[in-house]
Amino acid sequence: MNNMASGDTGQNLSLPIIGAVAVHLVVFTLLIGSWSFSYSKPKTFEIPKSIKAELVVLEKPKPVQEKPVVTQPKPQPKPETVSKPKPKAETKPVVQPKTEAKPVLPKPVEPKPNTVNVSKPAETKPAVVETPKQTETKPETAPAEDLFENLLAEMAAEDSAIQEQIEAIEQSQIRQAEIAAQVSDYIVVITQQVEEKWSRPVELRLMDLSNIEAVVAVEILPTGELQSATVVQPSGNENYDQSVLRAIEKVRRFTVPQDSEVFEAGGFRKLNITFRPEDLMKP
Amino acid sequence: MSLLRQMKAGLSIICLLLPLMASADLDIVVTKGYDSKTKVAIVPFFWEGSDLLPEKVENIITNNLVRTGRFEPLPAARMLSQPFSEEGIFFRDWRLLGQEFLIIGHLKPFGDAKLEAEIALYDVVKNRRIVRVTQVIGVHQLRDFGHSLSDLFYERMTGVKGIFSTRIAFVTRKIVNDNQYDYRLQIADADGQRARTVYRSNEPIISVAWSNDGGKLAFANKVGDRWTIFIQDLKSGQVNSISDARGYTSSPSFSPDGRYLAYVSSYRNSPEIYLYDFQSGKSERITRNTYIDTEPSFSPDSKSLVFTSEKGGRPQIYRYDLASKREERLTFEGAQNLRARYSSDGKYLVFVHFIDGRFHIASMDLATRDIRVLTETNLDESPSIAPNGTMLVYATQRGNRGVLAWVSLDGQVTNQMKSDFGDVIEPAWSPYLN
Repeated sequence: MNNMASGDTGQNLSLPIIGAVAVHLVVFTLLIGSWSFSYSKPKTFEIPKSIKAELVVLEKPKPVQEKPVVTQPKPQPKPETVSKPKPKAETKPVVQPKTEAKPVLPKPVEPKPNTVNVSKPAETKPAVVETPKQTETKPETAPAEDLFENLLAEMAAEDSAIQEQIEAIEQSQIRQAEIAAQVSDYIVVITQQVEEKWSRPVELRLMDLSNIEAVVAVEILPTGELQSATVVQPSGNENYDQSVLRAIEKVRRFTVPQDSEVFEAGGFRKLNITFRPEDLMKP
Repeated sequence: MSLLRQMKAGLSIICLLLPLMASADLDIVVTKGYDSKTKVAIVPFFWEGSDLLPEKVENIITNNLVRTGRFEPLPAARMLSQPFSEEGIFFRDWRLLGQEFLIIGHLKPFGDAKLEAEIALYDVVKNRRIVRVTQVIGVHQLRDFGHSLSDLFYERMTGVKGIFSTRIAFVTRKIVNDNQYDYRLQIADADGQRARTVYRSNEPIISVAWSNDGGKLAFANKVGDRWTIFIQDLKSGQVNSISDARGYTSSPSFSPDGRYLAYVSSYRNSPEIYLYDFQSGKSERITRNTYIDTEPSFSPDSKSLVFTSEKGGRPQIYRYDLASKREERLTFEGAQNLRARYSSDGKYLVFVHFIDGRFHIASMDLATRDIRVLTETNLDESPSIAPNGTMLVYATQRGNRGVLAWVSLDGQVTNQMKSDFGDVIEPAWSPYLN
């Protein structure tokens, strides 16, 4: 009995299940096709635009991520958001796949008659159309939906990954700007430190200094401590070169950014200091 | 999907690259300096003997360094410790006091009227000893020892040869009776101390010049109604006049090679420049015009001399080349330029520059002919330049008295000295002496 019962139930269910699976497969393949199609666009435009569309995007990406999960109603709000600024570029890729996905649904209806010739075309069709949406046929649709959801999840993950990357770039750009600002602040401080310690020998004032210049390569530890100083471009005047080296040695500990990222990114590890005594040059 | 990953990878690479691209060497340009004085701590030397020494060597060194205008010694009261040996030195302490150099000394009795001195100079910035001198000297030599130590330390600290062991010659003038003066030609240490008279006259003595070896002085002395050039040998004290020089002669200048003496004579007409040859004993006239030509001064290579001429209307500086016998005007800026002297390396001239109604000391870079004003002075007398080119000495008025003043090239008056023999005039800084 159990066997019979199972056999009966198996036979009873087999047709709808086959139909459902078939429909799901078709939908699925079409979905994949449409998704893959839709992805072709993002490739082209995301690379350049992602860098430019910084600030506005930060708020919008979140609504975009929700939309894909829901379904149809969103195509309309999207155009609105799309129409406003450049950020559209990024929202579009996400939006379009879904609008295209819908038209796919009616299509699967047509192919079915061809494939599902054996049994009930009329019944299966409405059931199929309804079931995927309502998820009534739980047992066997589960793998297909899992795939679908996995796909969506993966899509979402990719989206959010992209968003993260974009945000990371944006943040790094902001960070770069912060670093640049700090670097220029510290350049002023270091310049001042060296100027305070630079004593030009008085005999230099007897000379024509209009072209004198020396460059010193200075290696600094992250603590600001002087590691080495070398004249890499001598001035031609030994006393002058000694005076610039001495100035650097007298500073001994440079005021450098404590933030190691700023220190490294700013290039504080190695300074090229040019000494050009404009204050001693004739106007 | 793979495309997305590629994009992700691309983005990641960009993210990684951004900081890398920014971390090139940092370029900084320094266009001015504070030129603050070099801070040096000269610790009072430790003397083991019981008798008081006639001179404090550390004071001689301190005063010498101060007089250059480029050092600022640390007062002993502010020292955290007063070491006299290397073991007692904590560089960090001296750095905390902002010091750049440290000098310590230890003196021990060494037999009769002698002592053993150990003096050392340290670089506080570099945590190391620069030089140490250990020497046995007579107690009476302490002053000379202090000067030669000053020379050594100054050269090690600045890279420029010191001038503390050189001498300064000058003339003093004192009223004896009505219309009667006592003129003395004196020679003193570079700091004005230990002056001694080498020549006396009741008539004016002017334009004192040293021979290159420091062994002779030439000067002009009025004899009767004429001016005569005399040359005195400082060792023997013997004085000779130039046989061929007649009339009103003045402004002698030895050639560094010792062969010639350039001087001015107005024997026949306006003052002209002559060259006396010590080998032949004859003079040759080298300027010929109706204007004043005066103040000749040889270049270090003895191949040319500079002089002041008014042939352009105002006093300006010219250069005469001995080989080609050609002359060339050097100065064009300023209402007057006079009393030019070569630097010891021959690269530039230092001279009196009159512009906008004031006298200045100016220098000219001979390579570019660029003139720069060094010192604004109220001097009415001629300056004399130290052989290392970094200091001047000139006669000036303090109150109603003529005194000697030391001036650094940036215009600081670092020392003044009066004489027991009246007004001080006509100073002349000697060359390096050995």
